[in-house]
Amino acid sequence: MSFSPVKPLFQPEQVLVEQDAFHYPYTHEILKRLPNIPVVTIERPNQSTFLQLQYNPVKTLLLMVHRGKFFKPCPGTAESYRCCLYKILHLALGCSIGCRYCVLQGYLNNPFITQFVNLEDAFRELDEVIDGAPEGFFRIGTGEFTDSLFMDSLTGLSPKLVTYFAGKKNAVLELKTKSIAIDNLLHYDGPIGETIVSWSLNARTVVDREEGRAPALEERLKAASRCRARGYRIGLHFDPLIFFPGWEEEYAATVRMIFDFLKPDDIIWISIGSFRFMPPMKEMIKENHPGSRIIYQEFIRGLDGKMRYFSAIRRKMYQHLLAEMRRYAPEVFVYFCMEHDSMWDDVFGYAPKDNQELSHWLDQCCYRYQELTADSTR
Amino acid sequence: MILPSPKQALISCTLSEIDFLDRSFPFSYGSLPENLSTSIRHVGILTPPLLMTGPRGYVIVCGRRRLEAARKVFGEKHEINAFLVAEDEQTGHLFALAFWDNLAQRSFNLVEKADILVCLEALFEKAEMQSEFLPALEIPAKNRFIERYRAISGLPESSRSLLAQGKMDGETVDLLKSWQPDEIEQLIDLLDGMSFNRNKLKEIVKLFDDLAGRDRKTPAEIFSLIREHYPDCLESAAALRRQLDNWMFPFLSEAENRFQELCRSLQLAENLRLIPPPSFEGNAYTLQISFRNFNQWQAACDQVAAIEAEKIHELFSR
Repeated sequence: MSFSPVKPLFQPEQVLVEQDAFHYPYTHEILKRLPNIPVVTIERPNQSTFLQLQYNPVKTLLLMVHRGKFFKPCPGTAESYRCCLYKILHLALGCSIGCRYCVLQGYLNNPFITQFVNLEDAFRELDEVIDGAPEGFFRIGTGEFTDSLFMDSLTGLSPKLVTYFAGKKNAVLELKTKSIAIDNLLHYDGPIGETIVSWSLNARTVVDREEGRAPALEERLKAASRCRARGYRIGLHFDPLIFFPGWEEEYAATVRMIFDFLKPDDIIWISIGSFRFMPPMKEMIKENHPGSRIIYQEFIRGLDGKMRYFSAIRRKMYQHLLAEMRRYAPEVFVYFCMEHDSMWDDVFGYAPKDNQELSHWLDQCCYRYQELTADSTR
Repeated sequence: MILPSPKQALISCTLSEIDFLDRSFPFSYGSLPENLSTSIRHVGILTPPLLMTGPRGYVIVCGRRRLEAARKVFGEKHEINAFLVAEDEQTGHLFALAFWDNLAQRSFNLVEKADILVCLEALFEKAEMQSEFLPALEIPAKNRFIERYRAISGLPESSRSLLAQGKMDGETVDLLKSWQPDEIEQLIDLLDGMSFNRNKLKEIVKLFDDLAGRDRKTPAEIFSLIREHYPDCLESAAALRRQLDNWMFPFLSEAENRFQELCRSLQLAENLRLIPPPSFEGNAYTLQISFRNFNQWQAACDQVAAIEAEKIHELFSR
């Protein structure tokens, strides 16, 4: 399979560096990869509104020190809908891919694509959490407030994370992306533990119209297959499912395409979630992307206050997608991201009794979890 | 800092010499309060208004409502006393004087705020707008709100009038921002004769906007479709909203109809009420029993016990 060099999805025209960030070696490492890019030193960037008047957020990389928690629970709305109790490692903010449905448009108060450089602090915090609970098991991802790999060619972050997690028996790392910036992962020659590289997939029309500069489906799946060949496990995420004329055939085609590139056994899990958003995001999407039609559908206010498709539409989409997946991969673990028990029952014929149980089901998909539990019963 | 008083002279003029159409100082919009006309009828204009010389007569700087009330009560030939400001006075200075004077006497409606904002923006620097005028107008210094007021200023008169009457709110203006002026006029025409409050109007506009977005049509095309296919729904705002709801939410409407049918088939007594989860999200149905004495309670329990299990199963069959 031939593979041409990947054009980076993010090419900053300037780098803003917080003064304190210069104390960290990672800052210098990143700046070395951007030799001809102007660097502007700034004080602690709590004046982002002012800074964005001077620097175009789309073309600026901000390197700064993160002073809060790196390790967080996924901001799932756990009470009303089933949440898998995923954990987030918060190392970067923002993304340049520009998906029209992206929740980050309404989520971040910092407009710049930001890389936190105090990795030592992040790993120290992770050590405390992971080593402090040897009986616990952690599924941790970096792709909640950013795309895990879209600027990996600039940051070189993925090998550092893989190395770290390879040394942890009770944790797995999931790198979620739409990009194909996998060179660092492929060329990394250390142990990879059970790192999972996951791709967000969608119907072709959604990819073409709504996913900005994201690579085509075939490219994502080619990248997945190369990562699999290198030994990474592969996760897939159909989230957000978008309702549009012709969705049945297009989602079926995407499912079909998955298995042109991957075998069922290559896939650790597939998640499904429908398009949902906080009500104020409708206006933001309308304003930022006047050509997008995704906000004009049969949305109701869900139990968590987010707008989501009326349940009959979601059910129809989920049942269709699941049936297609089962044709090719009857055994692959498929789960919902943020759905109601009743929807689980209607679509799967069973429901996790609580979030812990759903979390346990996902943990069980991980070899490391199997080993961990085997050790503890020995 | 206290603004200096303008150079002015007391003059007498008839109301016909005043150019009421000139709105260079747009501090009042909407109907006159009845008590103002009553007061003018009894005592006339006690405080002389402030005028300046204009190309088609005197321009009202301050005191428009008093003058309009006097014209309504006494007619065009009525003579009044007024202060005429010197011709070399700066418009910005006069505008600021009139602004603070008006603000001391009453609060502005949305249209007045919008018109004043647009004039102020043309006359004053951004810094002064943010530090002085926006707080005084109670307009947050955020683009979203400023854009909203600018949009109000450019809306057709029919919708400005609804805003001034409090029948339309700012969120509805946000929805109308992307509409063409003639589409807004057509909407107001369509609603003519219907009784609605601002929340109902917002819902109707939102539904038209969503339908146009979903079906890739203009609002005007949606109006035509409504007139052509569902003329009956134009009899009332409630009927129109129901029709638009059915059109925009076909799956939800079907679920609602199915639920209503089921409730009818249960033939529940008046003191029993089956309530579905909001928007049928989740599966938490509620059965509400109201009773005033033991007999009513007992009767309700008996009726609940007699409900066929199959009917309840139907609730959960999808």
